[in-house]
Amino acid sequence: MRPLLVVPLLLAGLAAFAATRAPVSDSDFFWHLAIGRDIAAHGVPRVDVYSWTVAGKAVLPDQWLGELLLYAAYAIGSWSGTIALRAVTVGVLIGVVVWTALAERPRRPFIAVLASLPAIGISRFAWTDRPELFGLVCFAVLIALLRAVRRGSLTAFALCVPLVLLWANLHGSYALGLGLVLVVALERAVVDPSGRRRYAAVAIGSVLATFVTPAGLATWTSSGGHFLAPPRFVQEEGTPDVATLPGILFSVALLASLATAMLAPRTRRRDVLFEIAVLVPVAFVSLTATRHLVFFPIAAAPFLSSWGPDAWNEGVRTLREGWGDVLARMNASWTRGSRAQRDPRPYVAEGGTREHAMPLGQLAAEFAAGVVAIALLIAGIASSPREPDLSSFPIAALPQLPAGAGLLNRYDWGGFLIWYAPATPVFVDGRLFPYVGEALDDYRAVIGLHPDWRQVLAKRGIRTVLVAPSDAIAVEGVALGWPILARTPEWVMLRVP
Amino acid sequence: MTAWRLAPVYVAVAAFAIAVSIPGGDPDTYWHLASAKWMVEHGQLLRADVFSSTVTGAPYSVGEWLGELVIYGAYVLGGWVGIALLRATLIAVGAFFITRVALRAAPAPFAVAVTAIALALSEITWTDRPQLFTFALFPLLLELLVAARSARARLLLAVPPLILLWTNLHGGYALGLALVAIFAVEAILTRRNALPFAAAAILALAASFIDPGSLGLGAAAAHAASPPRFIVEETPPDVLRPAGFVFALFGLATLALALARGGALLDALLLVPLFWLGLSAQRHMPYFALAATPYIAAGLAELWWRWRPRSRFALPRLAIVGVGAGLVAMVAASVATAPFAPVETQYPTAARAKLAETSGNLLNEYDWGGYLIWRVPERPVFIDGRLFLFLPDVLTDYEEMVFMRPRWHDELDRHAIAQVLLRTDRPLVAALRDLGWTVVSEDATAVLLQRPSR
Repeated sequence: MRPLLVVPLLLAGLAAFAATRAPVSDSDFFWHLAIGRDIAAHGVPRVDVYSWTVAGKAVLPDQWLGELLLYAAYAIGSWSGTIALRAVTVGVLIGVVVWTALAERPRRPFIAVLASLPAIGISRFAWTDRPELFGLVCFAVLIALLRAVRRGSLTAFALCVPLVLLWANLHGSYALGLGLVLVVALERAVVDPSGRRRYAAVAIGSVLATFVTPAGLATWTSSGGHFLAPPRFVQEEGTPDVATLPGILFSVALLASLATAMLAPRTRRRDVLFEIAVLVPVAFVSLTATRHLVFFPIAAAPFLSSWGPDAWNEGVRTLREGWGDVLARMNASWTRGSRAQRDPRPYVAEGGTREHAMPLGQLAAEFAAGVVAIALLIAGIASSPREPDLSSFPIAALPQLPAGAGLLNRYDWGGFLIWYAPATPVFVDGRLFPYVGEALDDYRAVIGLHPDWRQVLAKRGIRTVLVAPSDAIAVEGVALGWPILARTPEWVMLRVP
Repeated sequence: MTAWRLAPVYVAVAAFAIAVSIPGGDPDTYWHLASAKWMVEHGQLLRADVFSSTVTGAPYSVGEWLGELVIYGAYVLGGWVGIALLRATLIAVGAFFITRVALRAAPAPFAVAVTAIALALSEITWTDRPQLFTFALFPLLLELLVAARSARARLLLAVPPLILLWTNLHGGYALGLALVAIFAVEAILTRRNALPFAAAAILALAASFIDPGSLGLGAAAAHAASPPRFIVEETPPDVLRPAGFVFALFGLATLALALARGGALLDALLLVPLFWLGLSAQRHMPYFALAATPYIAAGLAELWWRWRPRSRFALPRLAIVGVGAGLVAMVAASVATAPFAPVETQYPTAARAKLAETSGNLLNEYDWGGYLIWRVPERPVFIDGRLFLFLPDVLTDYEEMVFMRPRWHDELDRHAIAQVLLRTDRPLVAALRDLGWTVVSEDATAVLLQRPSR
């Protein structure tokens, strides 16, 4: 039975609307936009042209397609175009997540929504204007495809190859997708030995697809570097903290999955290996960095939708075994009416997703839901903020920025400066990896006033610093009487004598 | 299989041999020792700060008073050797009981192997502090509860006194109370031995109030929910580092085995909250690993037998004797060669003598507070590892100065700081050098700066 699209469409529309409420404000978005503009004008860039510290150094064009998409949206609709792209992407993401959960229990939309809530909630922290969001959609689609593979669809598995190809050109998170395809191919080969060659073909095709990018083999180094040695000083690359809201949502999904797996009856031998193959590696990846937390709730949503009610029924059964007589005496009608009593057998997903003839009423309901979703999207875009929110950036410093090399800027403001002050190359920005090594060490030495900060200042020829007033270098610069070129409570620009 | 009954003893002996050879030197050891010393010398509990210049006289919890006294007693009796032996003994006790719990669930080879990995993970908490008592008592209580659940409910009589002792030894008693509560909830939900377990839980809770200055359950819960993240052991696990990776292995193995073979209600009630606790801070990781050990060992054994149904794990008697003799030799060698004196290379040892010669308020590195309390008792510290005592004002001021925030100079004057003892790469050190503060002492670890006379 094909699940009704009403709930996924409505939630997608609501999410898309919610995504239009925030203005453009992400610092990294601006350097992505600049790269997208350069790709549109000159082709894929191979060397750095935005900084004076690593100018001319080779850079990886591993997100070129995502950057081009961002720029295309901006070129078509200015900041509203950016927000529209964000809203559509978020809508697709949420729609796919809920649909995948619903596909496990087509008649239980409430369960599917409940199972998707952690994923919906935590995805909110990734609703930024970056290629990362496209990667998240690819991940959600991959989970949907892989679960269709589990239900026996070879076509779905074959579709993983073009998905990985697209993903590898959109964002570095494709590595997780590739890993999952390989693990599931192995799992399928164990469960269904007769199809080994086809599963191997998909696995090999997916690996080869990742090389079809402008970065070629080097595209693996970016993902590998991020995964194995995340730069912990960047907040989103920090260790996941379950005391924060994203951490709480992640732990709800993780612990609910653990409890569900423990309590659900042991009648799913065919599914077990698949669930292990998907959930365990994704859980590990999610634990590696804060920005990866979102993956597990997305992967777990269909699992929770499928197994959750069985686990719940098992818990109720245990309670009834101990307290049945007491509950009976209390005339606990909820117990008698529960699914556990009506149908104690665990739910087993139906094979395939083949469509059956649908009543006209259901089609009409889906059409209406689609119309509502589109209306929400349009209403959201129409009323979205027209201008970016630059309140966290040193916008008033722009007219006084010196042209040419010599500026030491705060890491967080690099992307902003790349877009808004192209005549002033940056010291460092959110692209991070080109700077790892000497440039980043020097940045930290100066901004954190390490013992060698004066030598670095001289060696680099830093003439101006644009930092937060609370940064040690700003405090020391003011104390040393460096001329203050401009200042607000949020930033200060000092001239180095 | 009889020979495997010796496994808990063997694991405990091996753990002892390893633990005794680990050098001490934890900064908190020193202030625990100093606190106990003060209590012995004054014949009363230490209820207010006497070691700092910033919160002198401020009241603070003495919930760990007994743990501190026991550690100090070991020090008085045997110096640093005594502390090392106490540490090794407590770890051996923990190792013994967790092996016993695992053996109840799984065949010995699996129980021993998984226990060994869990113990290796727990090594991050083998520091000479009252938390060692929690490390020993957690497995002991788990064994007690599991045994009581099997058929020996009378063992529950031991639970309230155990919690009473634990409460006075270390703040980790809250973990013990949670353990008792989990078993009680399971007993009530399944209506098996509900009354004895509920009674044990209530009495244990009551016993936890018999402490002159317990941390309190509310404070313990708040601490778990909102750990002070600037302390390394209170940061979330990093699964790309060895200890975090092993913790993740335990978590993911538990998830995989739960998917493969399910679990009992007690498994879910026990492991789900402890997994969350482990995720919340590095120092809590071992407790999840210890509690998950029986479950993982049983799951691995089940998988093994599916693969090799005829496996037998009998050991020849000669091998048992050989391993026993080897362990005895290992303990002897460890005790003979153990570095009993604490390793103090990470402390400002070079500045010690100079510090004793100077006076005035000192601004010291947070991690060195405990060391200074013990080694240079004549100089009150600015801050040390007793953390809660310094929250929020002193810690804020400390960060304002050390990390050179805008008010650093005002704070330095307000606290009348005469000397600064910090790591050489601190921003404040660079600034004070520029301001003409005199370098009294400097090595690769620390620099002691003296305020210039006006």
